Amino acid sequence: MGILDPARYAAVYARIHSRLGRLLPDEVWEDLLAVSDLPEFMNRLEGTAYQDAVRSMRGERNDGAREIEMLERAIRGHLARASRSPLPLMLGGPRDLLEWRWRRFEIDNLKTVLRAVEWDVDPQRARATLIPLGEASEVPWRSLVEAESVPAVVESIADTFYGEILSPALARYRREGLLFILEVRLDLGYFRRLLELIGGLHGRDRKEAERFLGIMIDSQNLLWAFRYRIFYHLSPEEILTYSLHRGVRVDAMTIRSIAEGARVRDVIREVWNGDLPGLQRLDGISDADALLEAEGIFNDYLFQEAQQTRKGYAMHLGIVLGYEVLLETEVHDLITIAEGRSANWSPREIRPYLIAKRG
Amino acid sequence: MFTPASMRHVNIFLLEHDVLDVTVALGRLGVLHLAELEDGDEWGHAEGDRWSERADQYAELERELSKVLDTLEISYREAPLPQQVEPGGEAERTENEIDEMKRSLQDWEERREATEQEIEKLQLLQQEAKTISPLDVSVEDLQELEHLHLVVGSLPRDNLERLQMVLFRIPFVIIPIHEHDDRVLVFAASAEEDAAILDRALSSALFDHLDLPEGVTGPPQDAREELQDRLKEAKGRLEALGEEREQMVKEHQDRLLELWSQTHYNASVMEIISGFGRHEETYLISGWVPEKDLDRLVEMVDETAEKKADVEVLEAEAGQRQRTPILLQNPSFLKPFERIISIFGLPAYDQIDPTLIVGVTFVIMFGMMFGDVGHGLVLALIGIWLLRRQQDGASSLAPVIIAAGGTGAVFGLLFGSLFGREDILPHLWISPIEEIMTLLLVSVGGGVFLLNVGFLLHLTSSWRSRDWGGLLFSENGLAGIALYWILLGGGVMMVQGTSIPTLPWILALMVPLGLILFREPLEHVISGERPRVERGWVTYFVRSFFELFEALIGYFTNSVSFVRLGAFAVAHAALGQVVFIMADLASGVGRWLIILVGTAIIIGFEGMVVGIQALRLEYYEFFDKFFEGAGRPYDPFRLPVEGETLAPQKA
Repeated sequence: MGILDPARYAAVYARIHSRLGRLLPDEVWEDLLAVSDLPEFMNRLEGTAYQDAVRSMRGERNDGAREIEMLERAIRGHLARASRSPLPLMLGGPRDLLEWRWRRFEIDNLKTVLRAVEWDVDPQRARATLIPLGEASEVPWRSLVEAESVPAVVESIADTFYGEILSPALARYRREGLLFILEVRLDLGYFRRLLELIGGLHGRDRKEAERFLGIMIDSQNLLWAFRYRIFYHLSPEEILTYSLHRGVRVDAMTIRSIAEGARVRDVIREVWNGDLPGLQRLDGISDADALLEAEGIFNDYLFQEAQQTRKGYAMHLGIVLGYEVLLETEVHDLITIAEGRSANWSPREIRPYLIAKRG
Repeated sequence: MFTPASMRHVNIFLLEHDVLDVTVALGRLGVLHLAELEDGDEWGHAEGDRWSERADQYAELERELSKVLDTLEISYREAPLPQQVEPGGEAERTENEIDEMKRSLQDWEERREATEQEIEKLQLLQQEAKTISPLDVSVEDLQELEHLHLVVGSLPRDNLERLQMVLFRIPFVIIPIHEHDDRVLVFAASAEEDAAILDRALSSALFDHLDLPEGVTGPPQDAREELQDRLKEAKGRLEALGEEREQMVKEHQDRLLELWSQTHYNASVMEIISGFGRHEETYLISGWVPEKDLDRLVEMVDETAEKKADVEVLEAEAGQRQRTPILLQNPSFLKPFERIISIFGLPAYDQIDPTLIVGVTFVIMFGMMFGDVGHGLVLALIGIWLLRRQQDGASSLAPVIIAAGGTGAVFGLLFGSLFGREDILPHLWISPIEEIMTLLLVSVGGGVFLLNVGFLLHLTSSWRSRDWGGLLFSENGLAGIALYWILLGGGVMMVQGTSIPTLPWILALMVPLGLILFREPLEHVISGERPRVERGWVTYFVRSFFELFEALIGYFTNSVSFVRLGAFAVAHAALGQVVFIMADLASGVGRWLIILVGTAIIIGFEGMVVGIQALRLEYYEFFDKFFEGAGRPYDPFRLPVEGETLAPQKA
């Protein structure tokens, strides 16, 4: 650790502290839930920290994307920008980890590009659904959607991590024409590197990374494995191939038990034992329903953990990761409300789908 | 110095004929922070018209050129700066030139790729043949096994280990033979009845089958020799291709770099123009410019557009003020302290720029907690050393370290402390170890003073932004100041044992309490807004009560928090003494070693801790009173000028 590192954490703490103050207060959520339509939702949102996002969206040409899609994109762009704000103040392993974690936005964009090219979507229309990542991303997103084929996309980004990770899978993609193969490879490559970076941390930073990112990675891995079995009926060998073999709590033996037919509630109980509240919600329902419920349990847990970082000593990575979770939750809930209201759902119908229980 | 640079919002209305020249001139002047258009109905984006088409066209050309440059391994970082923007015909000419170049490159590239692939495959086959060479069996026999399913091929290295775990249902053998790039050549075998499972698992692990080359039969040793000859011949071809490339670079490098530079520049300018507002043939360039640069900007626009452009200059209006970009204007010696501010956030346009105050208070607080002539001077010397290194990062903080070390030395004189020894210098003010209570009280007193400076800054900011509610009724406004002083007065009287006139004190307390509690309705009365409270009185009172409670706790904790100034001063002096006590237990070299290491630890570790504490007091106790940090940095649109590299400009 360099001599200035603790001072840098103080700076990060200060920045996050000021950022936390920009999270939407309860009364705004009430207002947003009460809006009559999407334009009113945007007007209300414009009076908040999302002002830039809403205005940039309004200033953009509509290339056939639905307004709700453009709004979602703008809000996610806000999330991507805000997630980078502590990075200039960080050093070493924690910074590398957060830089890497930020790449999830690039992964999302790349999947959008691959699907757009595969399904021959109009490039203008595809561009309108990409998350705006600005200069933080070196990938030429605007031109990528114009590629003639999926292999051409991969070739265009050959020098990047994504190109390196996707190139070995191109031969199989060409043989079978399944985008799934590329997407899985992207996800696995991304999460493996994330786990490596977590493993490279020490002390409290590592504990905090495992606390937040560990549960994100493990839960994602479990849900993948179950979905492969329950919805896609893949063979045990394929389930194991398309999953992570080493997480924080979940390992290859856990995935193997899923591949061999273990129940959702049993696996989650075994992995998290008493550490995860709300597991009784999984009792007495089918595995397919339990998957949805489990996702909610993981989200609730992460949100509660993130709230904890707002109290007490936080001169460590946990303050940044906690803030990211809170912001992601906020964005998730905003998009849920926007989609709900544009589909004429009542606040009562929308509320169960919100992660944060406010007010 | 106490406010961000005065900005003017400019709207430049100009005709299509002039838009290109004016944009380039603006980019070279580099003072205009472009604004996003807000009135989308009247001023639609120019995007979608020929400017954005041209931007896409140039961007595409730039990509094509980059590919050619990359293929020829030419570095385009040193590309020359183009003298002018030439859209239109230039693009077509460039496209033709690129096409011609690509055609001549295509054949070369195809030959190179084919040769490289051939070499790669031959190397893998050679490894395969090498592995089976001890076998006294022909290649054909190996391909016709009856009870064993045997496959040869390569897979990504990261999938090899996973494969062992994946194949848990069947007996199998996987033998890695050779690693090549990121792939591993393997033999994989299972019983014939398990072939389907093995093949499926291999397929999902991105396994590529490898077939033996045509004409290779008989014993593996013979096959190896044949492959060796083929490999040698292929490598010779690749070498010749390399020489061919060198020749092409010599012939085309200068022209390619010139083209790349022109297209890159053009793409940037077109992209910027496509973001301007447009109404038929009139364009709107909207943005902010520092007031000091306004005349230069207007003059430049007039000159470039030959007075056919109209520049509208506006004050940053109430609704716009939050969006006005912030340019801090401090003398150079204060610049390093701007970094302390910007870590938290920039002040909004209406707010006070606290750089000077933070600069002064930070070094004073640091000095007080780090009071020692010797330690302070060493820290200042470290700062001077960092300054001379002239590197980013630490050296930008060097002036702060020098100032902090300097004040540490001054407080060392006041405390009579030299390298932890209290018996060499007489203290000019106070001895931290002997007069602890006095020092702690002075610290809290200093804190009270600083908090009141914070209150005054809040009043000033509220006045500037016409936030009458914030000025009069907020917990940091006039009502808050009154409440703070009434509470403080009561507290001081209690400590001194003086009896408080209870009824007048409580009545005095009720006034500011009531004003803060009824802030929202009072604000609405002033502004004539209805309803007086937005979500009903019950909700309002519950929320206000808790906010008031939080404010009261805040007054107390903010003030007491400054006690750490004295506490750390005492701790610093004590630590210095501990070093000498420990040193006295040793002798000779050991004694000096303890003094040296102990002093280094105090300067390094404690210096860091004290720095964090000073920052903490600034950010959480002081800033909390007046500073939101919601400002947006001034980031003007710039194009490179003579002598600069071709870095893409920002919009």
